[in-house]
Amino acid sequence: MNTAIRWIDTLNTLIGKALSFIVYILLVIVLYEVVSRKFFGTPTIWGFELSYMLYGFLFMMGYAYALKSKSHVNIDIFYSRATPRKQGILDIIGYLIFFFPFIYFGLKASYQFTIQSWQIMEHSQSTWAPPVYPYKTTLLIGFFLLFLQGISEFLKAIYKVKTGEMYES
Amino acid sequence: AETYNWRLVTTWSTSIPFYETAQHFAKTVDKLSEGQLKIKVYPAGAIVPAFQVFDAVRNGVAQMGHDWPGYWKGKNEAFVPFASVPFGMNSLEYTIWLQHEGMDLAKEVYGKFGLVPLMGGNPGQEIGFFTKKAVNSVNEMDKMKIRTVGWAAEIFEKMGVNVSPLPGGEIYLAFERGVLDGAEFSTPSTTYPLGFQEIAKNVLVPGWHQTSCQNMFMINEKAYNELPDHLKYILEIASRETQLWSMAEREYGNAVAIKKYKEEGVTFNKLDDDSLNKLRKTTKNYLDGLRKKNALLDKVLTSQEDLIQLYSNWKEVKSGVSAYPYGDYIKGKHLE
Amino acid sequence: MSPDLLAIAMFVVLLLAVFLGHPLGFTLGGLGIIFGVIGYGPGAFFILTNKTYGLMTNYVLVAIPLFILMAQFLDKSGVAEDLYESMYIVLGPVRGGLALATIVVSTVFAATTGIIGASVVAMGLLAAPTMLSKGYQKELTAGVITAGGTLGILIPPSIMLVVYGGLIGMSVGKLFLAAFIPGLLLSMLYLLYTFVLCYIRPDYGPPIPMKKRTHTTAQKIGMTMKSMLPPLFLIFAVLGSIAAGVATPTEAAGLGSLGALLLAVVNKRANWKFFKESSYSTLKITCMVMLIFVGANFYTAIFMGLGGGDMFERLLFAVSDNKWVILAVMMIIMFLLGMFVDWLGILLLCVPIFTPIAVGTLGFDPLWFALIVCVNLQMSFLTPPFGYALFYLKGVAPPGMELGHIYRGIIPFVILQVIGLILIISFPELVTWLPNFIMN
Ligand code: NA
Ligand code: NA
Repeated sequence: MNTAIRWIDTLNTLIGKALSFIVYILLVIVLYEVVSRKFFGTPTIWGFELSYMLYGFLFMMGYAYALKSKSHVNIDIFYSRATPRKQGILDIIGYLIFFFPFIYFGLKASYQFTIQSWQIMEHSQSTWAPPVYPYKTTLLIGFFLLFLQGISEFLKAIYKVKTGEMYES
Repeated sequence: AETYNWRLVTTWSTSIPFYETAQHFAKTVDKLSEGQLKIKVYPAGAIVPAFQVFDAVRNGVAQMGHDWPGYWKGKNEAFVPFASVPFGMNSLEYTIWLQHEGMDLAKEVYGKFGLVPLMGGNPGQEIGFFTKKAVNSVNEMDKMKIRTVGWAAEIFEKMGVNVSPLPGGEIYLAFERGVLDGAEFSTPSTTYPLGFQEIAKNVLVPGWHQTSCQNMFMINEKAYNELPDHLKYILEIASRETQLWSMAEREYGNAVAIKKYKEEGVTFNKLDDDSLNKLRKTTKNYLDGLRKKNALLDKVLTSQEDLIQLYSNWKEVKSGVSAYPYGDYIKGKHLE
Repeated sequence: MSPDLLAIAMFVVLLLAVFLGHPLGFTLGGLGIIFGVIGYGPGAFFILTNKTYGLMTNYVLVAIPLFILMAQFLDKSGVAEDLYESMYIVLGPVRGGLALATIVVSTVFAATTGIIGASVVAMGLLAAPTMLSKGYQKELTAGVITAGGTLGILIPPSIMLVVYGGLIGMSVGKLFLAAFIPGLLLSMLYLLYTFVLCYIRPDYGPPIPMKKRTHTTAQKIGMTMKSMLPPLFLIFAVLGSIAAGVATPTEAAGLGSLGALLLAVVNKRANWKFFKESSYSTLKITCMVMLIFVGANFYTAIFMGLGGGDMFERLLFAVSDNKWVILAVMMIIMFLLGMFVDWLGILLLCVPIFTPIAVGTLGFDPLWFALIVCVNLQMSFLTPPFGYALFYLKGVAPPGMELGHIYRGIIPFVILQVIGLILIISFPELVTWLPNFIMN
């Protein structure tokens, strides 16, 4: 169990930290567009589309890392006052009722969504018209990484119930 | 009899008149079927975002969708000619074409994705390009930044105009503040509420880039097949009625909008013949290139050209009595 | 179950479910799935990808990570600290001075950022630890930070106004101009309230002890001028670039980030650690905001699909035919919705239904109506139980500040906003004067 938690946490931390630097590429692209248009009078045809692709990639791939680092907000009026064991129980309920159905359908739908895009080698409707099937695949990968992290968090909840202590990595 | 409750998702926000077209269709179906088929219309974003309508209907989120088929260019380039073609057919010609070969071809294209198409209205020709300073030719546009999308954007690019593909919501501010020097959105009545006339008092006409704006309904095939035959027929009748209703309502609205634009001091500048010819040639070369890469697109465009060819003879023969006010006619305005 | 009952059940269950303490985005998403399967039909789950991909392709929202990055840069650049420090010295001798300083700084920064997440997070990191360590009441601390930070979505630049303009087809520039005075009005009301409250109850906001008041008036003026320069430079970078036609609102967020980066370079803060930590935090906070977006968008879509929108429409027409009564009912509905649904959900839910009635049928001025809707909607960030500004603060609050303090702290500020809203409804010039003045 601990091995699984460690592997998943390490994987998502590495991915999250590495990809977080994409925000700087995004910044450069947005600024390039302004300069290119304002000072050279030549707006790019790819600037606005590449910007949202980087932004979407960023948050889809980062969900798991954010879950691992407990960045997602919750209403913890009762939760924060509960003992680790009770917190574990609340976590297990939350993961079973909300997280796993959400992620199951999320994975199922994004699989269908991504496959349909690959089947027709779908391109964007814009003038630049980049392929969008790789971009749509990040939806699937992002949900999958989030699913893995959910398993890790679920195992941590079981640990809390079993031992009555917080899981320390 | 069994009743059916359907959802219809659209690519339109409620402020765009095409949303009303979808509502008109739903009401007609409700009345014709005496309530047996109820269709609830949703604006863009209520259930799915505008550009997700296609995938949503295909995957059963809603039984129906209402669109401008050009949005599905990335799925297959052959969707675009069902929406509009630069220097292509007008709304009457589209209706004639759809009634004859067009709908069969639409069924072929939409059918590849498990969708059944129906005519969805045609609000007429697009107004043209709002510009801050008056221009009459494409040459004068080479230093300008213009907002347009689709095939027209690529044709403009090939003629050396700087094109910026900003999304709808960003246009006004970008235009007002000078991020853009020119912009187009849609037909006169649809563009009017956007308030471009507050920013720019010139419009470069005619709207060669979209000589009409065909809309389509799409139905999830599985949902369609579950309907009894009489309801399928009602859908078809209602779609043809909607096509007619939309042409009449919107062309009236377009005329009223032009009057209002003129009252607000907007000048309409005609593209010179040389520019039109150059644009026409660039369009032809561009489309020829696309047709080589996509057989289905070629098939649809060929069918349209056949109709244009056939109809042009009659158009020529009957020309010369276009309805203008008496004084204008006498002064020589005989042609459309 | 009838559709109406199902829609109501969706609300009630959400209200109970959130107290399990599960991440909000997943709770909203999970409930969307459950009610989707029960009431919507087999297509429901696919909406999840439609909505998520819709967010992934929304260019306007690219401003979110950029504004958050800007907040991170600012946070680490020392600019906000300097401003906050000098405001503290200027206002410190006053009872409640630190709270007043927080509101002033929030108002200034509201004019540089377009989203709530970033401004509340920045002020939460900056002001909350200081205020608590100086003995300020936790509730008041939470109140001024969340209410002040929320001004960011009203005072331009503002994502909400950009989205509103896009939805209704209105000039975003005009909306920006119209939002200035209402935003400042709210800021004034907060200042006034805080001043009076702390005057009466100095224990809520103790002034600086006499022996620490060592700065002369000239020094204070100098410090203020010096510390105001960087934020003014940022306002110029963001709002100035939009006004001068250099950038779209999304690009302006990028220019703001560049500006904040330059300030950090000038203050010699920009090292490898600075970049590393800024990007890690930006990712985590962006994901936190975007998970709520996904969950709330999906939940709202299922709610709409179940006929929740119709239910509200029927409710509205059943009440009265007096235009002021209908307006009041609209405002109350949006306020109540704002307790549960995010602003984007309400905007998509109500504005398409209400605007044709308010502007078309009842004949209200579209710009004025837009602004009272937006002032109302920004309240949704603060109204419990689901005030996202409250959650953002909770996400960065120092230990010891619980959600309970935040909930209690926000109540007076919500009342102030209601007063502000009534003032704007009563005096339409508050909205229309500035755009008319500038545009003519
Ligand atoms: Na702002
Ligand atoms: Na709220």
